[in-house]
Formats: sequence, structure tokens, C-alpha cells
Amino acid sequence: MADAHQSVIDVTGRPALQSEPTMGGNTGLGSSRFRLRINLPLVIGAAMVLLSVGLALTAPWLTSHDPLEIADASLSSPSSQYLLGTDQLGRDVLTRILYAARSSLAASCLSAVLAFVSGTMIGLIAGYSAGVVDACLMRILDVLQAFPALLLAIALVAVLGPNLPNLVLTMGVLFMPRFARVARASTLSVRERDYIAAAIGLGVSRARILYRHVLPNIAAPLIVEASLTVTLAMLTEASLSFLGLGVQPPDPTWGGMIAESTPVMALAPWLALSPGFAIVFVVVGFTLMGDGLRDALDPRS
Amino acid sequence: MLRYAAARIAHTVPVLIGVSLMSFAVIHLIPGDIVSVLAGPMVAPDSEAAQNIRHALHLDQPLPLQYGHWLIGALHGDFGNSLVMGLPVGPQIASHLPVTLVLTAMSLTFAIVIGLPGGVVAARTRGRWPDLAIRAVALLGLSTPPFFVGVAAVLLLSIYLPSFKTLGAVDLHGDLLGGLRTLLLPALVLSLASATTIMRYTRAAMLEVLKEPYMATARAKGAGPTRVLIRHGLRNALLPVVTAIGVSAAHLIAGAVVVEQVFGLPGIGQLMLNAIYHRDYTQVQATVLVVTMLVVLINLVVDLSYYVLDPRIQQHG
Repeated sequence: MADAHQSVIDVTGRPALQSEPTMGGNTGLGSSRFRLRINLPLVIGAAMVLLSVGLALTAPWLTSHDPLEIADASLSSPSSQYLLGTDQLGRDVLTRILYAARSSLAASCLSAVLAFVSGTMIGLIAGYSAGVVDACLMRILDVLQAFPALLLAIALVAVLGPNLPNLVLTMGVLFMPRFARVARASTLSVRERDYIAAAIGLGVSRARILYRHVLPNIAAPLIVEASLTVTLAMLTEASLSFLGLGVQPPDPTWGGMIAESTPVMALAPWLALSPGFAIVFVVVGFTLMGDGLRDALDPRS
Repeated sequence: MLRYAAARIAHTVPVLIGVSLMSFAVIHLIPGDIVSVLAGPMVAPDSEAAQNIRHALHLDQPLPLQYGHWLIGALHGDFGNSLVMGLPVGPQIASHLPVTLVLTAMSLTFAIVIGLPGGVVAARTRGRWPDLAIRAVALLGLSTPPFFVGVAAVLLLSIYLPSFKTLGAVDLHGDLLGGLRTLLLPALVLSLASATTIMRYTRAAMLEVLKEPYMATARAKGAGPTRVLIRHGLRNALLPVVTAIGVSAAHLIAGAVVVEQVFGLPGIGQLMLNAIYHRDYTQVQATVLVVTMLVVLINLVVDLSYYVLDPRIQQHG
């Protein structure tokens, strides 16, 4: 711990000296006392993620083409006008990759947020109330997790109808148990602490105890889990859109672009390779960020 | 042993019931009236044709009865009839399952053969270049969707090794060797993500074990470095690795659905996707149920194998 203090940055801007979480009035989510120990994977991963998100958000200003615009030349190889060439219909591949990043990032980040919020609530309730409620909730999670995630995702999206809201809903439900388990395990240990007993003694309501006193102290592992869940969601979304179960054509998706490119793969390898590398880039970014966050937030390291 | 096994099996029963309930519920999640989805807009919801469909699917019964009817059928291997073909779905699954199971088994073998030594070497050379190289490859393996690896592999082979047969039918009954050869590349492609998972677990477990005093004891008594690493190290690191292998098996079966699509293999994935494209929901439902039951049973076997691997469970259980 001693040498750690040199590289410690308190995200709240206060001196990072208190080590034990204490009971306080202002322990809301926003001011939790994480000590971020900056490390290389975290920096590289965050940079890659920021770059991807930035490119996706500014897509309309980065390219002069429209993702659905059909040019004269189909299957033209990469050139100065079409940096990554054009597809069978003559649409600019780079533009489509940039626009596909929007739906892919939206689907994976929103589903991770949905999973985070619902899973954390269920985990908090299960861990804090224990007993019958806990046992029932855990059995339901057991069932959800018994299904191979991708298989259930395919079936649910197929039944509900393939579009962005259903993708978010399906993946959110699928990844919810991951957060519920992490939140429950941490809550089980936190609820035995003295500051919880003190809060109960002061007559603080149960909801307020969960939100103000338990949640900030279990947030670190949940944030790590969130970063890794985004990678799972990205890969799931890519697989679904490859199978034609993602955002529907003509809107571009990375998986869909790869699937469409297979008949002309030998003629135009850039069609399959560039969206594939886009997936790998973003997923590597989130994975590095998750690993980096784990090291940065782990009090034992 | 019996008590441990009984407790573990007792834990599986409610999961299996829940899985069957959810699989049953899938078909009722279809937005709107199922009959109008199935029969199309030409059939009025209250016409005789619609009533006949409702009756044939037992949709005119209360939900618990429908579930009971479906479950009892499923337990006898009768998963209902295909909504499109009218044929029973059970035999369809039985005929598509072998390809998927062989593919999964081959992938798992590849994953273990790649992941286990990879993890041991990475742990042994922690922080030096073999470790860094293995971890970099692992990061890429974990971040690349299997279907993209498949597409890229087919592309590369078609350019550099045109004689290698990448796509094609698999006839496991007539031509077993030929079938296995066709499955070789898909299995390798499918195994990468799991090899990575197994590698990461092995590395982490080995790093813990390498710190243990009994490793020093083993070295001090004069055991060779390989013997120390394998007999004393890996043996003790194996428990979390077996967990990873169990988790991988579930991932592999689901991943097979997508990889089969890349290579045009006639497995359970192709069956399910065709059913989805034709809105054949009883087929989808039955496939999800059968595959998930398989995964639950695999996890049960993995848990029971802890007992064999770790004598400490034998004492406490």
C-alpha cells in the first residue's frame, strides 16, 4: 500500500488517504471513494474505447458519403475516394463501418447498462434480505444462466423480432445475472460491517441504506464487470447480426457486412476483413479497459 | 460421495424445471396472436382455420395444461410437430445433433491441447516474452468473434491452399474419416475462444500454486523441474481449470450454432436457424430445450468430477 500512494489518484479530487469506508452522509454513487491506480492496459483500452465512441458519434461529419448511398462502381478496391472500397451495391465500406459502430456500440452499451441496473438491484435485494427472497432470486438466476447465452439470445431475438430495442432488452436480461451475482456476493460481506449496523441503529430506511451505504462500497467490482459485459455484448451482437438477427438491412452492422461479403470474398477481401477488424479493435479496447480497471480498483494489488 | 452427488443432482432438478418453463414460454413471447403470425394475415383470427390451428397446438387450453402436455411429450422424446413441415421435431434434432456434438468435442479437445500447455508456459515464464506473447494472442483470441475467424480462415485457405476442402457435407455414418476431416477446420476455429479461456484460468491457477511451499519442498527433495511443474503444480491447479473446461463446453455448443453457419455444416445450429427463418417456433423451442438440457448435464458431470479431482471434497462432502 505504501508505494501505491504515489500513483494514487482520487477520482473525487479529495486526498486519497482514508482507507476504510466510513459511514458518512454524502456517500452517494457520484462521490464514492475509488482510488484509480492508472496502469498501461487501462490507458490503452480507454483510448481505444474513446476513439471508437468518438468516431461513431462524429460519423456524419467524418465522411462525405451516406451509408445507404449507391455509387457508380460496385466492388471497387480501396482508393482515395473510397478509402476501404465499395461493396456489391457500390456503398462506401468505410462509411458503413462508421455507421455500424453506432448501432453496435448502442446495443452493447445500453444492454450493459440495463443489465447493470437491474442486476445490481436484484443482487442488492437478494444479498441484503437473505433467506427465502435470496434463495428464490438465486434459483431464477440459476435457470437464466443454465441457457447458453448466445443460444437463448438467438431464440429470444428471433421470437421478439430483430431490432435495436429487442436486442438491448434480450442482452440486458441475459447479462443481468452476472451483475446480480457480483452485487449479491459483495452485499453479503458489506452488510455485516459496523457502519451498516450504525445506519440501522440511526433509523435509516432500508432503501436508503442500500443506496447510500451499501451500493458505493460494492461499486468497484460491478464497474469491472460492466466493462467486460460490454465485450460480451459486442460479440453477441456481432454474432446475431452475422446470422441476420441484428439491426436489419439496409442499415449497416459489422456482422451483417461480413455475412453479405462471403459470396464475393475472393474478389473483395476488404469487405469481410475491415468490419472484422473493427469488431476486434473495439472488443480489445473494452477488454483492456476492463482488465486495467480490475487492477486499478482491486484493493489487494 | 453419494451425499455430495445426491445434493448436486437435487440442485439440478429445479434448474431443469425452470429451463423447461422458460423454453415453453419462448413461444408465448411472440408479439400478437401466435395463430395470425403462423397462418398469415389471410386467416381471420376467429375463422374455423384459425380454430383448427389453435386446437392442433393446444392453444385453446389453459397455460398450465399446455405446459403439462408439452412437458410430458418432451419427456417421451415427443417435442411436437414442426409448424412448417408437419413432421415431428424430435427425429430432426436427433439427426442433426451428432455433427454438433462431434464438432463440440473436437473443439474442446483442441481448446484443452492449446490452452493447458499455453497457460502452464505463461505462468512459468511470468512477465517474460513467452508469457507476454501468449497473453497477447489470448487477448486477440478472446476479442475475435469465431465467425470472423472462420470467414478469414476460409478466405486465406482459398487463396494459399486451394486444394484444402473447407466447405462441404458431413456424413458421419457413411464416411467417418472424411467427416472428421471436414470438421477439422471448423473445430479449430471454434476452439480459439475456449482455448483462451482455459489458458487464462490455467495461468492464474498455476501462478497461485507456484507460490505454495510444497513446490519448494518438491524441488528440494530433488524432483526434476518438469515433474515438479506437472505432478505437483498442474495437479493442484486443475480444479479451476476443470471449471473453465465445463464453462467452455457450454460456450462451444452455442458457438457451434454460428460456426456451423459459416462452414455450411448440417448440425443443430443449421436446424435452428432454418427453423427461425421459416418461423417454425416449435422446432426452435425444442432445439433450445435439448441443447440447454445437454449443457446442464455437462455442468453436472463437471461438478461431480471435482469429487474425483479434489480429495478435500471427499472429506467434507
